[in-house]
Amino acid sequence: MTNLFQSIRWRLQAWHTLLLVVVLSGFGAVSYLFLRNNLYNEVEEELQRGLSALASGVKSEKPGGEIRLSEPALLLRVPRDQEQRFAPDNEHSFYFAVWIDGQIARKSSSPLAEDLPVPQWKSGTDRITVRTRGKLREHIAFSSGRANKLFGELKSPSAGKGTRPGELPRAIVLVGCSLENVDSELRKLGSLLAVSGVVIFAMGTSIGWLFSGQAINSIGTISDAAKEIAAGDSSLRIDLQDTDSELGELASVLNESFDRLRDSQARQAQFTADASHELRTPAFVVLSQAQLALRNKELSEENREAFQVCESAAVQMKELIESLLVLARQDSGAQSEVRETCQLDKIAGEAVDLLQPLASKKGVTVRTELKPVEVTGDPSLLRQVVANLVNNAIEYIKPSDEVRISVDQDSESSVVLTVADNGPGISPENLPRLFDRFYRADQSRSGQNGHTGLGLAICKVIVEAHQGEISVSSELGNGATFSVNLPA
Amino acid sequence: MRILLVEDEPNLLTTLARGLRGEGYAVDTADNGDDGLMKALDTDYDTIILDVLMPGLDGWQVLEGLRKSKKTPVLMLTARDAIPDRIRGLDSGADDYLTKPCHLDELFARVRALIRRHSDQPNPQINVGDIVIDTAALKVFQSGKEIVLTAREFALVEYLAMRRGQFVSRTTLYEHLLDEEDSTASNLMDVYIYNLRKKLGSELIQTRRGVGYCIE
Repeated sequence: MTNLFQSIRWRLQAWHTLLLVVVLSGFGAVSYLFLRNNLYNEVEEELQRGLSALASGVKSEKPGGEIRLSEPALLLRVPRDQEQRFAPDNEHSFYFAVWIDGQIARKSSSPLAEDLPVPQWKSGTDRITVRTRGKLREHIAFSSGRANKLFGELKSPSAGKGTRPGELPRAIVLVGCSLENVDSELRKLGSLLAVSGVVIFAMGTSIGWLFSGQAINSIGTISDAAKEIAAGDSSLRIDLQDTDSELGELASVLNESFDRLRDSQARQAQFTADASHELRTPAFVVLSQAQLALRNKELSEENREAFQVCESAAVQMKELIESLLVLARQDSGAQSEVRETCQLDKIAGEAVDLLQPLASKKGVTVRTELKPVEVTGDPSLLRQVVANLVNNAIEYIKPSDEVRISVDQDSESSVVLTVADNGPGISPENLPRLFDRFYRADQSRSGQNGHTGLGLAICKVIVEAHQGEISVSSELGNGATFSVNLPA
Repeated sequence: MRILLVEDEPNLLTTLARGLRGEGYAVDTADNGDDGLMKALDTDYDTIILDVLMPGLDGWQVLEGLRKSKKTPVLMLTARDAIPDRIRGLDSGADDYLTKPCHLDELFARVRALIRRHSDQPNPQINVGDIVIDTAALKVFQSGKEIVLTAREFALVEYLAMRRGQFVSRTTLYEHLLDEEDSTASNLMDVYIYNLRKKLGSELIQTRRGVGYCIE
């Protein structure tokens, strides 16, 4: 996987999470505020109703009489429908009825009312001061001389409302209740909202993660398949189930391109194979004519040389054709692959034995250090790899130099074959292109010694077809070492 | 030894025919499969060299037609060298398989080997008394000394030596030592026999009137 924060999945997830947080907290806040408002309004309305009811219950003892200051017999009847609310054992609601001089006419026996300071009429002004504690909500009404006639209400404590000038109120009725119930309900609601928010958030993010995973999975499938195809398995295709999605479309477009690519590869390989086959007969004509002519013992020296050149050119052509065919076959991948367990040391030994005469002829020493190792592959192709490498080494070094061939276990899962020489080495600019087709490190020698310029390219193709690797290290003047790693 | 060469490439056909004749073989040629099959069925060749890709009947079909009635050794010479092609060739009755281009010497050696195998004479050197007939080197030695023979003379002595102890009729000799272009002068064989007796001694080849010739 690429850098975490560059990954599409992570980016999608980050946006998704951010969005979820904003939406959930917004929704939570709005619903909390809305519900709180509603609950408070309900409380206010209840109190209002209670206040109106109580205020209408303020009466003088004498029916129809005026309420007088310091009249002790002020009655406050609690209407029936409010009895429950202001019952003595109700700890949440309370009421006061207070004379203007501060004497309490009546009050409920709720403990809340006990603790409450008596509302104070600020004499000479139109202000009433009620000091309550924070958790209460009170409504105050004040009444002037006449009973059941209220001048107005004070909605919030310690706030005043003007009376009519000259008409001082005589009595105040105050109702209140504790907000404890409401607040605890609001707390419950708040924690419910918070918990469900967290749950929804967790579900949302994990579902989002799964979905984005699924989407990314398809991309992963595509890129894995594309990687393997790029690595050389041209028969592979992207296998995507939901072909109707955008990614499915992408996959099928890619598959089509791969098909076309493979077709053109196959056509190219087929062309090379056909061309090589077609070249065989004319090459054979030239070769056999030259060989036939060379059998004639009465041939002049000049003609003999000419025919020898023809013969060697035809032999070279033959080798070129064979090499091209090997490459075409490996390229097309159509050849039925031979894969058997074989002893790499024996294969290398055989190849070296075949080239021993050539080495002796040139005066080159060939040393081998072959440890018994097994590989799975096509023995004749592997023999060709060794032969090509050793042949190259013999060709390019001086008679006094030597070639060392070794086969050994590299690690538990791989074996290594090296062909090293102490010859002139390969210049650095030639190294990267050494395995290219028709590339010759020494251009001046092109075409000589039957070199086709395909030997190393063939080695590479064969080694790669065996899931192996071939590499070279060399320094000018210090020889060259070719290493072939093959899976054991 | 008489060989049929079936090959559609005219240059290759003439070159190979010339080369084979140089080796002392009588060579008939066909430049297409139909002619090739006709000739192959008509005459008892010692070996047939058969191309695969040809106009008309291809090599496989010629081989198939031939094998219905004849055991003539067949060497397939083809530009197709994939292993499945070789297997198909050998499985459909070919005795050997060679890919173009090959070295002429190898081709000739394989032809010699095929002929030896077919006449149950796996040793390339045949010893008759003090005479050694080297069928690989195409040379005859008497008491270690080489006796120079013409190609036809060698072919005759080789043919008889390979069928040692059998009497070979004049007709058979004509059929196997002369090709379709040779004039079949009736006394030609007598001339060869006469020359051979002169060079290798009169004891070597025996004649039985009305039956034929034999090397004991």
